[in-house]
Amino acid sequence: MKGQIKEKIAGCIGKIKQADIKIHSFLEIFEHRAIEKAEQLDEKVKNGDKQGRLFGLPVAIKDNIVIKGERATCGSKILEGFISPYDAEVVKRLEREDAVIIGRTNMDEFAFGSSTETSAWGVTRNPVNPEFVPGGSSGGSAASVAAGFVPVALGSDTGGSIRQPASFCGVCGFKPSYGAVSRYGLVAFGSSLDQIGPFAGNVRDIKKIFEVIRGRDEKDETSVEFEPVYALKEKVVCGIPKEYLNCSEKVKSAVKKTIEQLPKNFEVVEISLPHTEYAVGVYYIIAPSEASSNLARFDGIRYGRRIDGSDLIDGYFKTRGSGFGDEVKRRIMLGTFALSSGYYDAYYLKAQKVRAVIKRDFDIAFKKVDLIIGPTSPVIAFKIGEITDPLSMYLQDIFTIPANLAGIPAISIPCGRGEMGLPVGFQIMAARFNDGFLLEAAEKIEEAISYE
Amino acid sequence: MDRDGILRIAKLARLEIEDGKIEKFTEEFNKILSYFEKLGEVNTKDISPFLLKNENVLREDEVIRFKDRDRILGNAPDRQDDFFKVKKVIEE
Repeated sequence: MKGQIKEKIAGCIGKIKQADIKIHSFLEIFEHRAIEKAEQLDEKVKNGDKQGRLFGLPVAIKDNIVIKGERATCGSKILEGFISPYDAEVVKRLEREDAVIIGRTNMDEFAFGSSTETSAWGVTRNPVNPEFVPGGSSGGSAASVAAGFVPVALGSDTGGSIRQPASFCGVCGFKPSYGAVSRYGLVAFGSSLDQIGPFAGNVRDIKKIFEVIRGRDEKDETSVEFEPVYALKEKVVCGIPKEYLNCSEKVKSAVKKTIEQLPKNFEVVEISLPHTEYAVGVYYIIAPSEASSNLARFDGIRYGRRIDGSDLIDGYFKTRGSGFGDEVKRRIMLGTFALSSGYYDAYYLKAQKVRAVIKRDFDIAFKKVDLIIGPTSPVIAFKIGEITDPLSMYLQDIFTIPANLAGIPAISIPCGRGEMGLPVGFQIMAARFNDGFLLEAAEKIEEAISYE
Repeated sequence: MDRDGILRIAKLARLEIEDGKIEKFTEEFNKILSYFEKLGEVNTKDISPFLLKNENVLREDEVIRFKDRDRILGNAPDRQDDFFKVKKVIEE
């Protein structure tokens, strides 16, 4: 007799094989692994064994989170052929609760991008309209959920890489507080900014995944154990920063309509985060600086691609020169420059000081309000190939970057549609470690709003 | 930043840049650098650089043996027995 879970997982894989040709959200389906896990779960059912909290739930994983015995490339040629010797902590936690890992999803190379166009393995298309980008860098994970291939997926968010693609694809995407989830096994990009988080079709599923993956892990020294409180207050004060209304008309009107439909006990006040306009500049100094250091490990000696040169050093140049794409090179160089002698004070140190000022804006705001609300992105999804200038691409992240700089939790939920039916995302932020409160509020907002 | 400056940074970062792309890289780099100048508008005179936590986290430096050594060595582009093999570093 064929087991129920195996049948469900086989069906899920069949659907991806047939329909993902048009979307390209997956880089690889772990068919063998998924079916094997499903068989184990069916065996559990047969024996009446205890079932995990995510029993039989198919999950997609971004290509920068490693899984023992599987490939992981970060969307880059330089990791060609790499097979992970170990599991990321989040993968361990998901599998311990009987989730079924279906495959790895496409991303901007090393998560450097906002459109999934810089992947070495080709672009991912937006399931809502395949001529448009899914956002990035976790575009594959967002698209896999939006296309209905999997109910949930994991991504990583350094400057908006979960929330912006969630917004573009019309799904929910959550970046937890810095420290809430272990990054052990996430290929490091900007270590003071990176967080792993879930994508799902609704906030309830986001909560379910967050509860499984969060918590202290001694292998990530920045991870923290805390008990999220999933409760609301009688009156919830929401601040809308006036700086966040500097966005396209369609986005603005969808956000305004959402604000009008907020639950009755949600009060809305206008606030100011006066240093918002400096967030992009700060981020594109700090994140590349951290990346230039983190990516030094890709030298062709222990794993991945190697191109031999005339000597060891020449081999580094050739390996990195051919293995990295242009955007990766640009960011490594920006970081190398910002950290180089003679420029450190003017760029890196200055950015760290302005980062402190941006964090202070939030501290002041959260004395008056419980939540900060606004658009996730100033625009809806753009066409594939439409934005070619790096700086214009960077400016896409203006509303998502601040949460990473301040280390606070933030979620994007769908709130309307713009041109061609493309989705608009509504971002909700809370003070650090108020993740439970934030998710509770997001669920209430999700229930209260309707659009179309 | 001129062409030589870009080549100097690329050298520090151990990156080979194709000849045909250097000019475009330089141009984009300068555009981004001039955008950074905006940060000069923020008065940071008495501001300390950002820190999420104002304390060091310490632990014992214990060696924990990795069980699957072969999975690590199996990733080596070139190996000899239990070693990663690289081009000769020391001159004869």
